[in-house]
Amino acid sequence: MGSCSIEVSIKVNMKPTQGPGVRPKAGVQQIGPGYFQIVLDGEKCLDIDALEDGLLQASFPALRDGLARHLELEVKKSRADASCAS
Amino acid sequence: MLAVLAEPGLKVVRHATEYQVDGEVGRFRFGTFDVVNLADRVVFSGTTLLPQRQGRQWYQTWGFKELALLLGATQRSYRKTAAYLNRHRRQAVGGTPLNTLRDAAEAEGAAVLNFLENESTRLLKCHGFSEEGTPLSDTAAGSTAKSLPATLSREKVGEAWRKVEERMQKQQMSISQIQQAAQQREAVYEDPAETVNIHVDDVCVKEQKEQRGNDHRSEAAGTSPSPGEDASAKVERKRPMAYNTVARIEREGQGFTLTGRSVLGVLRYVLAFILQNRLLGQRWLFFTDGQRSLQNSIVTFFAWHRWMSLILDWFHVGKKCREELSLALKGREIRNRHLKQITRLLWYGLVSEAVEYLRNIPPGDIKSQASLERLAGYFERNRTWIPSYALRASLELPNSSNPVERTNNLVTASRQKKNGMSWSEPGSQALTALSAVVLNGHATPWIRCRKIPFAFQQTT
Repeated sequence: MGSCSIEVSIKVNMKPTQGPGVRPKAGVQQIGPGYFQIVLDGEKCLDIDALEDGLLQASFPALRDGLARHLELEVKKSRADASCAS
Repeated sequence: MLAVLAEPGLKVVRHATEYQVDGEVGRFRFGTFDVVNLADRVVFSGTTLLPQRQGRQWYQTWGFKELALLLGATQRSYRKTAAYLNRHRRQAVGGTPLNTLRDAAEAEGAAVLNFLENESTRLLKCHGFSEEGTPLSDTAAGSTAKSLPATLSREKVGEAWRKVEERMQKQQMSISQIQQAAQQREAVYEDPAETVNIHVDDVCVKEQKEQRGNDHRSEAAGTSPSPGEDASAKVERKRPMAYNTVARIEREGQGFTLTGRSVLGVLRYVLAFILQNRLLGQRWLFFTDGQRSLQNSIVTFFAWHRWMSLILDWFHVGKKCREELSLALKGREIRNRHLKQITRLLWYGLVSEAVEYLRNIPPGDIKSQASLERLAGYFERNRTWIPSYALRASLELPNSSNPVERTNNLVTASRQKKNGMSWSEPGSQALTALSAVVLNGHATPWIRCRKIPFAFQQTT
């Protein structure tokens, strides 16, 4: 049996706003399988408290999703292996 | 920063020390940068963009404060909290040390107490009161208000009295006693809708000695005097205690808890809270145990308020009687027999009869006359504050300072009164203040905005 590698990458980017007066969507958004995003106001880019809170808010769903996805895949794989063997 | 860099001859250099953060994600450091000119003078420091720290201080994030201080240290020991926190953050090595956590909790609690102090001063000033809590004009004192706070109707009191009278007759109390008790119908019975119930009490915990040592230990424990020592000195020595004053303000399913370093300090907060909630025109009913200094402080502090009164907590009346009669009378059976009679009289507000009963206890039953005299003195001293508990109970009005006893347990006793625990006074008061913030449901506004709203919290 091979090793199980876990990779995590967190990006904090400054992006231009979509237009004047456009507010970022509140809360964490899932933007793809295993990818979660939270957008904060521009003035929060040096706010340690808001950044930490945002990171934690986005990280925990990503952790849950990543773990669930992996387990589901592994169970499916072992069932397939078991049925082949029988 | 870019604008600064545009000037010629300037360069960016790494700041000598790293910025340190203690957060919910763990402890981490990062470098910051300064802009220096040709003379190596700093013209811009990157740390100015971040919250200011001193020396090697760690910046504690909101998340850290909520998790470690308000939800952690107020609930369990510093050791357990530090272990839990560092485990939660996967930072068993290099995590927050226990002493740092304790210092942080003390600093945070002291900040809460300072906020209460400053906010009370501000509110008192806003409402026309002196810093000491005395009204600076009749208008401020509410003396010019035309309407009296509502009281329960005569019919309702009469109806309740009939039930009390029936019970007295069933208990075969004499006609004169029933007539005496009937006078209590004329007393004022507050309408709960227009009354603020204020429960005030002191709670003490064992105080920590500054130094450990045999001399200090024996003194602290109040035992084992040295062989040559006078026995009376042993009695006089008492374990030093750290005191917290707690006030619980309640009205119609709402409540708020205030804690402080002294009785007078807390009474100032109580007044500020009342003024902020526009309750000046209501009746204020204080519930206390028999502690003389506490009663005197309340009565003196609020002497200017026309509709203020005080009620001696029924539980403490019974307790005091039991304790003093145990010392005064010979044996449990005799004590219980007399105790039953005395507490019955007091339940109906018959203070004079209770004193007379004490005076007529057969000499053969008495062990210590001094204890009996002390109890009689206690009744006399508190005569004004002993109502007809029976009539109040029949009217479904409170008779007990139980809310503050319960609050004491929640904010102080459950965390600080455990075997082997001892506290410095600032440490105990700080932790009590933090627990009160959590109890009032104001942890988030405090951590994020450094404000505690002086507003009731719904309890039912």
